[in-house]
Amino acid sequence: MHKIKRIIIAALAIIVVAGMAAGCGNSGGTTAAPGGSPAGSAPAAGGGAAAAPSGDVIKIGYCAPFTGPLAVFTTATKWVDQKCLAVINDQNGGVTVAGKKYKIDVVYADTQSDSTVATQVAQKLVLQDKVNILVGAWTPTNSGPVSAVGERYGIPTYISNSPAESWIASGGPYHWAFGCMFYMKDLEINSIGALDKLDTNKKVGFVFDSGVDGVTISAMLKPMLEAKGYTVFDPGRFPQATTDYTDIIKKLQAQDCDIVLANMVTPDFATMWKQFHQLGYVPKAFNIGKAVHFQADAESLGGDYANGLLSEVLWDPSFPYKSNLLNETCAQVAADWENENHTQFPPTLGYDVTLWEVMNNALPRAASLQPADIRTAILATNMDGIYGHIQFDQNQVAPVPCITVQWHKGTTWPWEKTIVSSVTLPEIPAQTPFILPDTTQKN
Amino acid sequence: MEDKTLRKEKNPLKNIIILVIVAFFASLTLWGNAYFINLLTLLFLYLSLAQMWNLLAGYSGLVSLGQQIFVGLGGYCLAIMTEKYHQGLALSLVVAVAVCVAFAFVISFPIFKMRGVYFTIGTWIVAEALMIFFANWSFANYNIGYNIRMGYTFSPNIIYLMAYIIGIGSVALVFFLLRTKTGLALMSMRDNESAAEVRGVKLYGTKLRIFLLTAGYTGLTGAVLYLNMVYLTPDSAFTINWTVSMVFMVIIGGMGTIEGGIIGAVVYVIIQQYLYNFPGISMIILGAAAIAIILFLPKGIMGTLHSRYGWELFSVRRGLQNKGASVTSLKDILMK
Repeated sequence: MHKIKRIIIAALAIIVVAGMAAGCGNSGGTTAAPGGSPAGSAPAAGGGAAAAPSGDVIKIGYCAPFTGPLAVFTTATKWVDQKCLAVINDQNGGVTVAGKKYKIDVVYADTQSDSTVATQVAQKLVLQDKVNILVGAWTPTNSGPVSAVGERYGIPTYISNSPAESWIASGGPYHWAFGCMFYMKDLEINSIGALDKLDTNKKVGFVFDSGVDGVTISAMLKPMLEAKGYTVFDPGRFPQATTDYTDIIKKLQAQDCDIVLANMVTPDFATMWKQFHQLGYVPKAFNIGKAVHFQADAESLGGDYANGLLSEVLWDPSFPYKSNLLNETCAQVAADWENENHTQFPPTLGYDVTLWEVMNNALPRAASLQPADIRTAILATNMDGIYGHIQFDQNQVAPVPCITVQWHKGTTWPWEKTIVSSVTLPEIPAQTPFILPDTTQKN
Repeated sequence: MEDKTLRKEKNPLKNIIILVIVAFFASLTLWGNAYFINLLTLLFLYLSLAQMWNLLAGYSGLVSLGQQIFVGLGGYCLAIMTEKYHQGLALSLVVAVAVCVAFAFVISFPIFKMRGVYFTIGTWIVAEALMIFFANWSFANYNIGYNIRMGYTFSPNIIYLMAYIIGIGSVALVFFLLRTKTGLALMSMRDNESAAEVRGVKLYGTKLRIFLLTAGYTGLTGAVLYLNMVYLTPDSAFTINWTVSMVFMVIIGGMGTIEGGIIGAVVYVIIQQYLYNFPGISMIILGAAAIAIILFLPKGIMGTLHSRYGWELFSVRRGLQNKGASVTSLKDILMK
């Protein structure tokens, strides 16, 4: 008996140790910039971490959801970082601040898609790793807590992708936090623009959950739609992770809504969309926010369920812009990804590259590495890059496009998308969307 | 050998140890580095959460999975009082405690009708319902939540001292409470409810008092936690993760012991900080550690130390496994 116990203990110990070792090798926690000097990014054991990062590196603490339900957004993060830092650190030899060359060193922190963890890892980056700049990437879950930590400790904090309105509502006006984001209003103008192109009875049904996006978007959309002559039927908010939508669906069906607008996470949407089909109700147009950004999302719906769905898109290779850092067009960057990774480009590439374009553009303008000087330099950014023109407004937001696309079967990949509305950015060409094919499947 | 001397010269040596520890942590603000101070701030706050859950589950037999109710309510009271009404910290904390106690009192009527596992699930459901309620409540800024800007204005050292007082206070509170009549009643209830009732312990009243006390203290801890974290949303405030961490700390430390909560908090906070370096597998490691401890040290680290070496720092502990312990332990205490 005792022997067996010992063996089990030993086995468990080995698993734990092996796990930790694997974590180390995984370049998970702390990573030196590729090609850069691996200067002092190893976690300090006790207290007594070095004071301000002397040496010749600028440390950037990157908080992003590398695991958890939002992990899909970080698919391309490290690929883009390597590509961009290869240019900044290796090709250019670093960035010059006040006459001295500095290499950029990234310290990654996983927020686990949890805002409490995001706060704690951001605090750790500031207090232990002594980063010069914090980055909080993807959705309010990460942008909110990381901004708050930046504000508290007085560290320049760059937010990458979050709906600007709710970011401002939760803690604005900000001093130390700023970021590259989209305005929800642009998203809505474009999504209504797509509906305008369709021949419908102009009756719109809402399916919005009680998440931040659901609450904010539904409140903003209603008056905008009514001003354009649509009739809105809103059965009210419902909790996330609901599994039975039949009541809501039947109400929308009874109102004869030709259009349904929704915003939910992928698993919830997959459940609901199947229930629409089971109840024999396929509206002429269905705009689903958030759930179907990636090809993998479209595939995960199964069958032909993704065909004809409208959704917002963060970035697309058809954008007529060129990266000032990589010196490549949007199409070329997407092609690079597809050639190297053999999967469809993730639409997160735009945000990922813009971060490094801003750093590369702003840091040389900073008078010193003091937080206030870094902040001033970044907020003064005025450049053209992979997201078009980047300039910060009075809310400290550098607004980037968020336009509407339609998913359909593809030639290169199983599912591809076409831009169907870009009212806010007329330079981007948009097609006319098609009406959802009524292929009600009884399961 | 050392154990024996410890036991012989019980009081003076122990008191000195405790005093030295208390003084050491208080002096940290003078020389500790910022990261270490922040780590200890978390540690003391988690310690308080663990002590309160231990008091509730380990001593009163109220195994609640809904203590995040009070962490969240405490945080929200702080956020709303400071962000919406621009009140000071002291008043906000008083309101946080008052709201938590009042809310605990109101929900005690329905959930005290449930026992055992029904009580556990009942408390969890209340917490989930609150999360949905706050996400839909315009008064509390829906799901957008708040940045608690008051937290920017306090130096980390001040917040550390608050956490320190709350953490040490929670240990002192549990320690002295267990030495009172209520403490006797609690330990007898823990060991055998029916026997305790026969001997005159008022079960409902005692449980209610403990429930209200832990609610208020957990709410206070939650408010200071959010003062340090400076950002909250309903999802993070009312997440079951708070209670999961309390359970983890108490179980690995040793349920029904004061030292267990302390050891649990130290182990949990350090492991958690360390595991941030291993994204993706941190949960696996934490889970494996919990399974290993439950399998091989079912009484937790402190419980095992105690049963093997008879060592304990705070002498209010009575054997959890001891059958008929309520009678003997009461006798023991009365004879002292």
